[in-house]
Amino acid sequence: MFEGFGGALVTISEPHVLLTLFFGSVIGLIFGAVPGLGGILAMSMLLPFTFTWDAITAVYLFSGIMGASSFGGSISAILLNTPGTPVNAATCFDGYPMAKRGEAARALGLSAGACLLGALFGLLILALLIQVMRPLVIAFGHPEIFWLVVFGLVTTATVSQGSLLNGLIAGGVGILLSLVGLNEPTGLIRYTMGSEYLWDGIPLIPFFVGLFAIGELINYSAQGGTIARDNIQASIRGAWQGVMENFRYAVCLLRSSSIGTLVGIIPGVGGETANLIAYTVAVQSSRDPTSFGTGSPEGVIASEAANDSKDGGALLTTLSFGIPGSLAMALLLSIFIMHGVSPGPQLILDNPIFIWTLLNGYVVSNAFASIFGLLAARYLAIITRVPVHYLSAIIAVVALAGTYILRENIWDVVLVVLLGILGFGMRRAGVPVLPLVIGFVLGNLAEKSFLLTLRIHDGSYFGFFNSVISWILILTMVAVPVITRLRTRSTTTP
Amino acid sequence: MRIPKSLFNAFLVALVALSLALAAAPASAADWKPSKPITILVGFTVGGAMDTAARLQGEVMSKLLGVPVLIRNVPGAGGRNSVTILNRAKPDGYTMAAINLPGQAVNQVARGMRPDLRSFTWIGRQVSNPYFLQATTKEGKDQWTNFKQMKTAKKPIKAGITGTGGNTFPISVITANLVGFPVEFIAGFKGPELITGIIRGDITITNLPLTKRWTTAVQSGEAKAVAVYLPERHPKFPDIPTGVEQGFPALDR
Repeated sequence: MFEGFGGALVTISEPHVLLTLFFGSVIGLIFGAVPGLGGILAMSMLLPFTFTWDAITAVYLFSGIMGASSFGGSISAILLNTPGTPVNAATCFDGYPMAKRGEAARALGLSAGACLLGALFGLLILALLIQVMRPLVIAFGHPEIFWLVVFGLVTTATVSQGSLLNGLIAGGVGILLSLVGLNEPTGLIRYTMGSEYLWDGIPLIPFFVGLFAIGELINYSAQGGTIARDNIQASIRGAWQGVMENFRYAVCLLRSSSIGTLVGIIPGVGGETANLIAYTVAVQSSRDPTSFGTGSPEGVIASEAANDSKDGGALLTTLSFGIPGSLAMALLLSIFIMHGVSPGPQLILDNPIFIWTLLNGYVVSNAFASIFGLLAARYLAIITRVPVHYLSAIIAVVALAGTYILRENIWDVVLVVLLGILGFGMRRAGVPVLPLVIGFVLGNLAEKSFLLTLRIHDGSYFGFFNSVISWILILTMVAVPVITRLRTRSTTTP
Repeated sequence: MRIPKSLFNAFLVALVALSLALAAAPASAADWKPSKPITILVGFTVGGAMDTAARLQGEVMSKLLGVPVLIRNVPGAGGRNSVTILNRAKPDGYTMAAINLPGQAVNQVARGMRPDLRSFTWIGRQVSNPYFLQATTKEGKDQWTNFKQMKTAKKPIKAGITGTGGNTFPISVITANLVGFPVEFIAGFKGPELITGIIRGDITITNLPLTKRWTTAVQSGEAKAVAVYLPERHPKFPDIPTGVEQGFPALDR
């Protein structure tokens, strides 16, 4: 498959291609950073215009958008505690406390580095595993997805700072919220109170925009002042330091990238799961778990590395089966089809140049985004010094308008406001938000894979225990909290 | 659950317009000159298959009609929002919708939901794509190779579907009824998971669109194609037999 590499490398040096790629990266950054919008929206809106382009240029535009949108989303997560896209949710938990400490630039640097390195890691795995991929995807069935998700849910207990009881309650509420709507495996419609609006469940983007952006906005208005409270000087030169810190936390980076790639490979499990699982695993395996949630660099690295490495994993599934591993991949495949290139395992053999075009574009746009982040960090960090009553007006308009544009449904806006009040109340009462998010993102998936496993195995519970991967996941789930406990005990009692 | 076949004549996705002009005087429809932008409602999120098709069509339509064609995504309730909003729109031809007909037909017939889909003016099929029935090879190479074998199945055959709102559900119901085999539905799969489920043997059969993307498992021998719902074999997939040649003339689409 390597024969197309040279050809693709030649095309990337052409000025119009570089320009397209740059254009795509800028769009990706903007659409990623504005809460409610996202890379998918940008790609679909531009799709009809690329119909008359040659396929290579179109692929460069789209890989540019795809590569840059995740870093774009982390900018708003760090500076405003508002994930630009749902996949950046976990970045808020440590990125924003860093910004509050006056280390916004350092956090942006961390994110920029983690995005690029995570993306490279995902693509490296892609290149290494592409030939032997199919058995792994096949081995990961519904029982395995169930255990992976339960693993994420169990960690709620260990990532709840402060009161464990509060954490468990928040996690339980999150699971309940995730069960609203039409339950596909049973065909039942639950907790909708007769409203058609709630059929599809509580939508992901209004959930995040409400809980984070609006919740924080009410908080700003209540407190006043600026986001960064002290040590503002640190924001000036921290960006490069942040990038380099990725190497200091290399273990965390590699672990999170591996988790991201694995989650990307599994069909039906998306990026909003990858960053949360990587984050909770990082908390558990850290030497200093209590620092998470208060501005730990590892938290930002874990979330963003998982985000960008998952695209490599999703691409693996897409290429080895010809079926899209994610919505972004589905759009990319439709470009291939529009230009008469049929996706699937044959693509690697017949048209390797397309694959390399895609990969090169993805890497270069990630690099563009990261360089932009590095250069702009000090200016972006100024946002944390703007008095918050100006900021909250802007955030309110952008967040509410973004939510409305997405589905043109006024109830989404109502939902955002209600969740904002919930988010503010939780902050005030000292109830952690992270377990709520984990419960909401993973609860429905856990139930679905549980029911599907039972149905597939004719109601027998043995289906959960008859594969090696299931056992590995079960044992890890038990072992990780035990090891964490033993290690913290040995460090606290010298 | 029985579903009237008349509702499935368009079978896949159909494009609907609420134009009284079109409904009352179809002959004058060809002379209709729109003077302001036309909106096409899509009941699913940006980037989905229906959205992509509508966007590509919108591009061509606006060139032919000389007015901009806007795609408005109103996702929610399994595509239901597009029906609700279309029903509220002024019937002047400027509001159209791409509707997932099988799913909405299930809503109307099984859940008694309104408005009546027959009250709209139907323009045509948005995407013309035959479906085919795919079976697992995990239960033996010679097992489940044709409909006759399925008819003699002793216990219900596990059919994977996305949900009651998706296309695979009504297609599977109709096939099982017409062929006459016992079936057990397992719902909740996403599109790609249907393929991996078939390869793993989690499910025995599923119905998928007949395109290269969905036939890769058949080409690699990890699954087999039982039948395509067409009157004659598809020129691009001549190895896949039709339901008609297996003795079920009603399965021609």
